[in-house]
Amino acid sequence: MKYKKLSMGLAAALMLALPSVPVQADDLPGAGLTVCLSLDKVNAFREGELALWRKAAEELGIKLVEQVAGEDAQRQSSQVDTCIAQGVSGIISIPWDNQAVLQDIERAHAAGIPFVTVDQAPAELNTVDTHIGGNPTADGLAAGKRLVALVGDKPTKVVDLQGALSAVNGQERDAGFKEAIKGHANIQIVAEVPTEWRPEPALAGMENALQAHPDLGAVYAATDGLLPPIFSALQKANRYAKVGDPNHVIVLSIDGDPQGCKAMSEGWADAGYATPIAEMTRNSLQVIIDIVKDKKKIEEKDKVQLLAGLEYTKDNLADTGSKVWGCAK
Amino acid sequence: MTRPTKPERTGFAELNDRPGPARTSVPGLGPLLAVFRDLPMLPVILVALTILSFAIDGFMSIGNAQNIMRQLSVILIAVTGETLVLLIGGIDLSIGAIIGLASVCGALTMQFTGSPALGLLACLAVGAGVGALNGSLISRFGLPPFIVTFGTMLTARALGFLLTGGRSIGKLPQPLLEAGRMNIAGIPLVFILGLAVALLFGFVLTRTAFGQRIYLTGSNPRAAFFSGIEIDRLKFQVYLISGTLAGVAAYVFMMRLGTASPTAGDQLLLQIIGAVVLGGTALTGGEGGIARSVTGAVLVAILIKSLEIMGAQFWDQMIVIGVLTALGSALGAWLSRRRTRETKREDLVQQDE
Repeated sequence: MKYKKLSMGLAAALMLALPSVPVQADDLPGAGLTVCLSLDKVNAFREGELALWRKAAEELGIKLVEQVAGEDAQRQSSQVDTCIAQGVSGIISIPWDNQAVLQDIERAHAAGIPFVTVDQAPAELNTVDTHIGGNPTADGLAAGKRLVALVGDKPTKVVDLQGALSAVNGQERDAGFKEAIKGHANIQIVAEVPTEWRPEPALAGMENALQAHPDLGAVYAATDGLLPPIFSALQKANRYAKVGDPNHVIVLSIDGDPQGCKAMSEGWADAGYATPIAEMTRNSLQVIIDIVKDKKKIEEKDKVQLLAGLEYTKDNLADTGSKVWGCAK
Repeated sequence: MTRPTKPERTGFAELNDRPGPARTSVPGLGPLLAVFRDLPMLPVILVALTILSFAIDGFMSIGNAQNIMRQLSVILIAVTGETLVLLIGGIDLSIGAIIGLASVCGALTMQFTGSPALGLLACLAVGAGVGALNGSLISRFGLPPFIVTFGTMLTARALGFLLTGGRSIGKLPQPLLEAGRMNIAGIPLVFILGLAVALLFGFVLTRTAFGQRIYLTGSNPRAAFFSGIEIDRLKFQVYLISGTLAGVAAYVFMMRLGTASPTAGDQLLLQIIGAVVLGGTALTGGEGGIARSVTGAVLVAILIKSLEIMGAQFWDQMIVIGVLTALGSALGAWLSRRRTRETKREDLVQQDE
C-alpha cells in the first residue's frame, strides 16, 4: 500500500514536471505538417504576426518551426537551409532581402518544398508559390488621400517618416503617399526621414523638423512603431494635442498595431491603416496545406494576394475595432 | 627599412617554439597542450561537436556541415582583416559598411558589364580605397582609429544608400551564382575561398617578417619604433589589407546570396568582433592570431546552428552567444596573464643558469 501511494505520487509529480504536449487531432486539415516560419526580425509588429501564426497553426493542426534572422540576409539564408535539411513540409518566409530570398526559394523548390512569402515580396514574384501581403501602395495612397481631405486648401507642412527603403513595404508605402498628394501644392513635404522602421531616426527627424518648422501640420508614419517618438517630439515642441484642438498635428500611420489602436482610441491620431495580418497568416498556412496535402495547383490569380489595409479612425473604431488586430484584447 | 631579426623574447602568442619546462611538463601531451593553449576555443569546439553530435539528430550530417561552412565563408575573410587591425592595436569599425558598399559597386559593375571579373575588381577597388583612406587618416594624421573608421563606416553606408536608394541589387551573372552554389569534394567553394584567405594571412602573420612587425608594433610600439619599424607605413598597409579583404568578403557575399545591398554588412561587425574576441585576440593589440579568430568564428557558427535546430528563440540565442563571448574573453585574458607569468619565469630560470 505504501509503495502504491509512493508510485502514484511519483507518477503525479512526473506528469506535473513534464511539459504539456499539444494534442494534434488527425482530422485537422494540417495534421502531420511541419511548417518552417522564417522571420526577418523581431519587433512589435512581427510579434503580433507570430502570435496569429501560432494561433492559426494550432487551429489547423500544423507544427511550426520558428526562425528569426535578426535583419541578417546571410543568417536567414542559413536558417532556410536548416529547414530544408530538416525536411519540413513547407516554408513561409518574411524575407529581409527581397533578392537574396530568390536563392532560398530555388533551393527549397529543388528539395520539393513549397515556399510562401508573406508581407515582404520577393524581387521576382513568379518564383514563389504564393505571396501574401498587405498592399503598401494602396495603404500609402489612402493615407495621402485622407491627408488631402483633412487639410483641404490649407497650406500644410508634412514630415514623411519612411520605413526601410531596402524593403518593398517601405518603398511603396512612401510612393503611394506621395502619389496621393501629388498636385496639391498646398501640401509640402518638409522632411523625409528614412527611419529603417526604427524609432531613433524618427525621433531625431521629428525634432529637427519641428525646430525648423514650428508650424508643422502633419506627420505620415510608415509604421505604427514610430508613433511613440512622434508623440515624444510633439510633446517637447508643445504641439502634442488631440484631434480637434487647434494646436493638433495631423498623424497618419500604417499597421494597426496596439500602439496605433491606442493612439486612435485616445484621439491623438487621425487615421490608421490596419494590415489584415490575421488573414495573411492564416492564408499562408492554408496555401501550404493546399499544396502539400490536397495537391492543389495554386491558380495564377491566387499566387499574389495583396490585401489592402482597413482604414480606421476614432469615429469608426466602434465598428472597425474588431477587425484591427492591434485592438484585439 | 632594416629587416628585424627574430626577437628572443617577443611575448608573441604565435611563436610556440620556445623551449621551457612549462611546455613539456606532460610527456607526450606537450604539443597538444601547446596547441590548446594557443587556441583556447579549439578544445571547446571539440567538446561542443562531440556533445551536439549525440544531442541533435543530424547535426553531424553533410548537409548541416555544408550549411555551417557556407555561413562561415564571409565571416572568415572579414575576421582575417579585423584580426590584423586589432593585432596592430587598432580597430576597424568600417568593415561591415565596406562590405555593403563594395557589394553594391561590384553588383552595379556586373549589371553594366556582365563580367564577374570586373565585378571582383570593383569590389577590390572599393575595399582598397576605403582601407587606404582609413590607413592614411590614422597613420599620416594620427587620428584615432575608432573615430576614423566610425566616420568611414557611416560614409560608406550612406554612399551605398545613395547609389541604390536602399534597394538590394539582384540579377547577378549566372556564372557567379553557380560558383556560389558549387561544392568541390563536398566542400562549398565559398568556404574554400574564405578558408584560403584565412590560411594565407595566417601564414603571413606567423611566418614572415611582416607578421612579426605587426605583433611587435601591437605589443610594444616603442620597441617597434626603436627596432627600425616604420610604424605609420605598417599601419597604412594593415588598414589597406583590411579594406581589401572586406572587398573580397563582399564578392563572396554576392556569390553566396546572389544579392548586393548597402546593408549587407550591417550585422557582420558585431559578429566579427565577437568571433575575434571569443577566439582570444586581445583588443589591446599584440596578442592573438588569425587561427584564434577562426576558432572563435567556428564556435559561434556551430552554437548558433545548434540552437536554431533545437528551436531556441532568437533572443535566447543572442544571450547564449553574448555570455559565451564574455566568458571566452575572460578565458583569453586569463591565458594571456598565465603566458606572461610563464615567460617571466623562464627568463628568471635562464638568468639563474
